[in-house]
Amino acid sequence: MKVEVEEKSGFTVVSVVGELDVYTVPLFRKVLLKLEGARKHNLIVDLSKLTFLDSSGLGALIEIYQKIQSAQGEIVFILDNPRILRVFELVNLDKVLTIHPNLGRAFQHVGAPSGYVDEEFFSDIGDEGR
Amino acid sequence: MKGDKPKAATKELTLHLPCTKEAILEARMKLDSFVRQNGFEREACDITLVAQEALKNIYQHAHPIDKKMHLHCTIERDRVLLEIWDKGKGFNVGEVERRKRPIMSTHGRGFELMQGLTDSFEIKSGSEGTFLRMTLKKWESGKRPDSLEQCLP
Ligand SMILES: Nc1ncnc2c1ncn2[C@@H]1O[C@H](COP(=O)(O)OP(=O)(O)O)[C@@H](O)[C@H]1O
Ligand SMILES: Nc1ncnc2c1ncn2[C@@H]1O[C@H](COP(=O)(O)OP(=O)(O)O)[C@@H](O)[C@H]1O
Ligand SMILES: [Mg+2]
Ligand SMILES: [Mg+2]
Repeated sequence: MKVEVEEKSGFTVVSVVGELDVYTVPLFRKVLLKLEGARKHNLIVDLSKLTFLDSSGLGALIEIYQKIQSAQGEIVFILDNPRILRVFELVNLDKVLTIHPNLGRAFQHVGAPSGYVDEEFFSDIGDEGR
Repeated sequence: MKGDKPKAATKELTLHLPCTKEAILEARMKLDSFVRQNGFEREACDITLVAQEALKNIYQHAHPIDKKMHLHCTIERDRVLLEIWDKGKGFNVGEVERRKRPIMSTHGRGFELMQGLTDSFEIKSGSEGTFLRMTLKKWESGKRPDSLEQCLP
């Protein structure tokens, strides 16, 4: 599993590549804590390359959603894998979270042009775990 | 006459694993290739998620006296039977079922997922341990987009 972070149009895009589960949640949390410390409160969580999500992964997504809510930020999820959408549906999270099928739609939703700004800030967060 | 009527082939996978975090992943990988080899490619993602939730519960809550997690998977013609059990401390099933979890609860979603992803779900728990018996049916063909390959082990 790998977490990629990049800045786009005032949003921080956090992409989870691989599995988000009991094994990889610690790495995901580490990245999010770093974002929190840097006061990045507008997030697009890209789950389009997620291959597996269990209840521990769900817990971590709920946790970050709540943190962003209480920081008055905005958080949008990108997801189109039907099996993983089903996991969200089973716990009714699809009714609470803002979920879009791709980055373009997510940016449309938050009203930002999908421009691109490179950032070195997160360059030390690379592959770890699986 | 003996042997002239071929029995419907039943394939089985039995695992008795140490109660460790690493063993959960090992079990998931073995189960994944087992069900895929037996025609449940599309369902493998759900089957392995259900197993992971059940095994995680043993690891996190059961404290089994034999320090083991037990899994038995049987392939039937059009469904998979998954039995997962432990010789742990058990719990009050009714009480857990009645517990209403708020949508934003970060814990306690394991049974919701297991129940939702399976076609039948039975649970017995007591002072001898916990036993889960679940079935997942083979999907009818052609109802879903083929994006399911996205879900690899
Ligand atoms: N095998 C088990 N042995 C003992 N207790 C269990 C077992 N499985 C589940 N439980 C109990 O049921 C509760 C609900 O399980 P679950 O829905 O998976 O949520 P979580 O694991 O996040 O608490 C657990 O908190 C635990 O008290
Ligand atoms: N033929 C199928 N093709 C694709 N997915 C299916 C099929 N049958 C079931 N599923 C998936 O499994 C889930 C559970 O199916 P099922 O047990 O029939 O419905 P439910 O338990 O929601 O009443 C469905 O919501 C769907 O995501
Ligand atoms: Mg659990
Ligand atoms: Mg069902």
